[in-house]
Amino acid sequence: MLKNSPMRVCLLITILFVHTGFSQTSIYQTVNGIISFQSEAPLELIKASSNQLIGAIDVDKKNFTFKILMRSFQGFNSPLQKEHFNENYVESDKFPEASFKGKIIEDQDLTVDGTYELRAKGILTIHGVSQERIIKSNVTVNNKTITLKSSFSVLLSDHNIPIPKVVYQKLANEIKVDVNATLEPR
Amino acid sequence: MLQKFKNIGLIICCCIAISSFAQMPGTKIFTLGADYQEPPHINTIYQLKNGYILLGTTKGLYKFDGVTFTVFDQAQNVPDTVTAICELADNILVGYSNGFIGHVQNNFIAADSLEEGFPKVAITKIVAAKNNIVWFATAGEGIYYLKNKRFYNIDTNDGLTDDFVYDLSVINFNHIIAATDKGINICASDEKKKVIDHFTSRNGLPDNIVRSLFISGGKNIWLGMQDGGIGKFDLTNQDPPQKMNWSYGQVNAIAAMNSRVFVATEDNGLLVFNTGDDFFNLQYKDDQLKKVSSMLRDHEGNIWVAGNNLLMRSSASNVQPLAVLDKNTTENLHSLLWTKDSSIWFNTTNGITQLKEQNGMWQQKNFVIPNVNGASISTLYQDIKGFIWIGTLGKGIIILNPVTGKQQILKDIPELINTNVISITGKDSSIWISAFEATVCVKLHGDNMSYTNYAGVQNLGNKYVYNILQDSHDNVWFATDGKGVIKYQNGSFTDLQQFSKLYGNVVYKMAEDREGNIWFSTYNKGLVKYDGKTYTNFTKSQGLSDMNITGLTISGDNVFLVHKNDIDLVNTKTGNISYLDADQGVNNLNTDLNALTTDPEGNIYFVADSILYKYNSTKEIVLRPIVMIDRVQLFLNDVNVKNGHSFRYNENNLSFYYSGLYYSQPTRIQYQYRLEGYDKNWVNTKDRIKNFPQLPPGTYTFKVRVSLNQNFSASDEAAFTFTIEPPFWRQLWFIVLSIIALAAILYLIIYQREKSIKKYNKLESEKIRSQLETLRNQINPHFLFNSFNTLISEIEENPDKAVLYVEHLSDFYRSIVVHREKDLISLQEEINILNDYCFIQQKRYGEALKINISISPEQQKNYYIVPLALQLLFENAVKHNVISTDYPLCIELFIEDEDHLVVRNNINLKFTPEKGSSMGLQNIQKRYLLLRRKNVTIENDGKFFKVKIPLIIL
Repeated sequence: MLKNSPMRVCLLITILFVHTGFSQTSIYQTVNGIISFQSEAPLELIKASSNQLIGAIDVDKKNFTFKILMRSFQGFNSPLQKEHFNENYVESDKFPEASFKGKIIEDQDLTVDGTYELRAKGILTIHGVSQERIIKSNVTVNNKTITLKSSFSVLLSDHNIPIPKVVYQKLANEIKVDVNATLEPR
Repeated sequence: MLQKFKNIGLIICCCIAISSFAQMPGTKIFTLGADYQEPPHINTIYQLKNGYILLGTTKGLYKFDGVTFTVFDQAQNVPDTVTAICELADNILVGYSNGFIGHVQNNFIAADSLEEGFPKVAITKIVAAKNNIVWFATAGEGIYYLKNKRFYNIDTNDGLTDDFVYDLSVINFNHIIAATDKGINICASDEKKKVIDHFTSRNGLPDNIVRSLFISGGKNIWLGMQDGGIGKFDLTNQDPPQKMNWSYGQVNAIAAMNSRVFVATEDNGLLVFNTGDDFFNLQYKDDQLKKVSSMLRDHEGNIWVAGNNLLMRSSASNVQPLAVLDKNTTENLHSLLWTKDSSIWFNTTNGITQLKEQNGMWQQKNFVIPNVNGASISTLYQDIKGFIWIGTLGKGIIILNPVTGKQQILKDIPELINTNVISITGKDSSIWISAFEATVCVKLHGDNMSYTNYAGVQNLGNKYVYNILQDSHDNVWFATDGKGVIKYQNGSFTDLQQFSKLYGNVVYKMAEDREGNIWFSTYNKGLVKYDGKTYTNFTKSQGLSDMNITGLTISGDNVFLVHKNDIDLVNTKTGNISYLDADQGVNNLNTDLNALTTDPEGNIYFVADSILYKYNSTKEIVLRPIVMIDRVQLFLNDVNVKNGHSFRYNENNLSFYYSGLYYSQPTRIQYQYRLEGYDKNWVNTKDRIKNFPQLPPGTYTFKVRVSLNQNFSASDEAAFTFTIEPPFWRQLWFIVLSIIALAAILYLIIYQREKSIKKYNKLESEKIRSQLETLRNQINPHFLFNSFNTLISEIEENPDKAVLYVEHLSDFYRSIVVHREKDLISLQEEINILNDYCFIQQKRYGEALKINISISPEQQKNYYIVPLALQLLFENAVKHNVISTDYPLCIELFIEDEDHLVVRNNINLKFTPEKGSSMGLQNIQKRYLLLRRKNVTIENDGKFFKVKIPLIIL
């Protein structure tokens, strides 16, 4: 449904209109950020990634929103595994998206060029379960472009995703996530 | 009969606030980094559970043991300015001015690792709640909390009134109170709403900027504010504190205890207030340190304050100065009394003075006693009705009604008129009076009194009685000058003879402790405890600082002893002695017997250096030093080992670093150590390291204990047990293996000997058997018979040759005699024998017997052979085979392969073999096996019979 770029941009605009008071010039956005995750269990290593990460940062208000479609993840060790991911674990039918929305803690002016280590405090929602998280990111501002790199961990147990006993050696509870996104002004 | 009060003396009332002290006695200042160009500034003070005081400074984290400051080593990436310290279950967290968080483990500060990253602003406070959540207050990012290894944040977006948080305290189980730039907030970590409640100036708070919090009694919160001074906030009814007139500036820290509040300010030093339900009164102000940024009350009850690079210790919490007395009063003060309305009375030059605290201010009321020189008032006592009995030297007793001020000279007891009164004590309605000339017990009945004079009984009139004590069982004790202790029980007097024998005749003062023991102070034998059965003596060896005891009373679990220059506190149960001396500002004590008084709470009032002091009796404080082993070093390098560690045998140079902590008097600390398994006795030392080089293997326990005096019987002790393994050659498994190996070797040796003995025996027996065989063979009649037959034909044919024949025959037999005993003979000799034999046989058989001996003379010389072996083989060949011209027998003798001698003959067996045991060949085989373990091989291919004999070289 949301596979093509124009559609994603439309979705992004819709999201942004919900948050009132955004001024046009201060919003940086992306629709093709890369988000990848890795599960390292004793018997199996699973990797998957998606390049359809949608994100927006308001540099004036220091707010941000990021969303990803769970079905857009590719990689996995087999198509069956991808199917299990969507049907059994994250239940993409019920919860098509994961999101992270919140505020940047630091009082850093992001219109000034430079590299900063910032912390994002917000609500991370996966599988319908929300958790308050502080996520550290490296942000580089250069010539009106914001490049964002972040690494953090997600515990499946935090988001009500149980691991069946038969696969507990193949699936780790702690998933390592990496985000790479380049945001440009609207 | 008590007469109406006739004399009314002059009363002068004053309401004077007793002057505030500018410099507190009992303070000591320590300087951090005095020799640095830019010394570090102390930001925060903290005390660990084990007693160590830590200082967070601008140049790192320091440890203070009462004497020296030691800085903690830290990792490269750890910053310098420490702003917060908190001890958790298994490590210590340190917060820095740039938001960094580190932890201390093994005396080393390393960085914490948080996935969420550190705050970017200073961490102002860290506290740990009982539910394992750690809270962090920051200067600009609100509050963080660490829960299940995740870092969470509460800031203005969550409802916090302001992001700049100065202080944080845990209340209830999971709620905290935060003091911010905009009032106080109450937050929770696990409820829907993070910020539950808040109070700002809108709710009545005197000042929004709240810099410090102190929770007292679980529901009262003391606040220290920027401009608004201090205030108490009651959580239960949420009454804001009242505004007050505050002129002391910014408050940096606040703490409350015992109805007093200690306030640390930015410009005005340390302030101490007396508080009640609705009043504050400044008791005193100490501005030796003008700027006080942090404050701590330690386990011993001392108050520590720090500002810049100065650290000050004050005993103001324990030893509280109440009032300064003028010189005249001090010199003439002989008696002190605490009365039921919480006033303190003492004598002055013209009467007595009452000091009473009202609304935090001391008020003074003077009572003049006419015709009496105030300096002659020796004792004061309050009876059960509230009247004050004033005992004088020379003017008897005057009774004063403190409420009305009316006085009356006691005339009812003629013996006491104008006497010199030494002491007045009592219990309930009995009053005991001891005077020079009389010892009287007065009993009060309503408005009347009756009395008994015991003078004359048991010499009570002759000897001075310094003190009389009516104990809890209503026995009465008399402390006398010259008759020791006299006990009055059930109507009869007893001298305590044993007491006098042991401790002399002069006893000054007595008191009863909570367990019913009676304590006595003697003239020169120190302190004595009597439990009804046995006496225990406390002298300098038990740690008494002075054998001259001038004052004695009981406070809680301690006996309070006054000497000229210090006070001893003797624990009634353990005998542990601690001190109050110049370190606490106690000096030049008033040494009068009656210049000491106590109140029902156990607080004690005394005079030192013109100051009237109150000693606050508190249960929770630590009165003895503690000791701990800080580090263990192996060959002078730190090792991280746990109690019970095993070292290898060459790890035998061990050092132990230990510290004793007693912040009130750190210079009195002394140690005793003993290495159990090495030292026989405890060794005294003032060092803090002990090194043991070259310890032999074994199990040891290093024990160290600490005391303030030479008495270590009730000391704290620290121990470290370790083992030094013996080298492998001394370990059980090795020894057992060695013994087994030794046994095996011994067994093998014996076995070998047995074997060779057996072999020798066997050889001998075989040799004898072969001798037997040969002998048998040679005495074989056949051989002789044939030989003689041949001889006869020789004689007949050729007589000359016959002689030769007989010569050979005789040589042959001689050789047998000569060689038959030997084990080995040379091949040469054997062949000689053989030649003799062959000569004889060839004479008999002629051409039918062909003998071929092809051995060089050299070979004959080099090789050795079993004697008569060849002869036997040749004989065998002759015995078993046909020898005729048609079928001749050819016997060859040669050397094969340079190591075997071969006797070979063609086979032509007789039908009827001659009689002879086959023992001969077997015998040879056996003998070779025994001698040299070599095989004699026999090859019989039907055509030739070949015997190979191994050659032996000696």
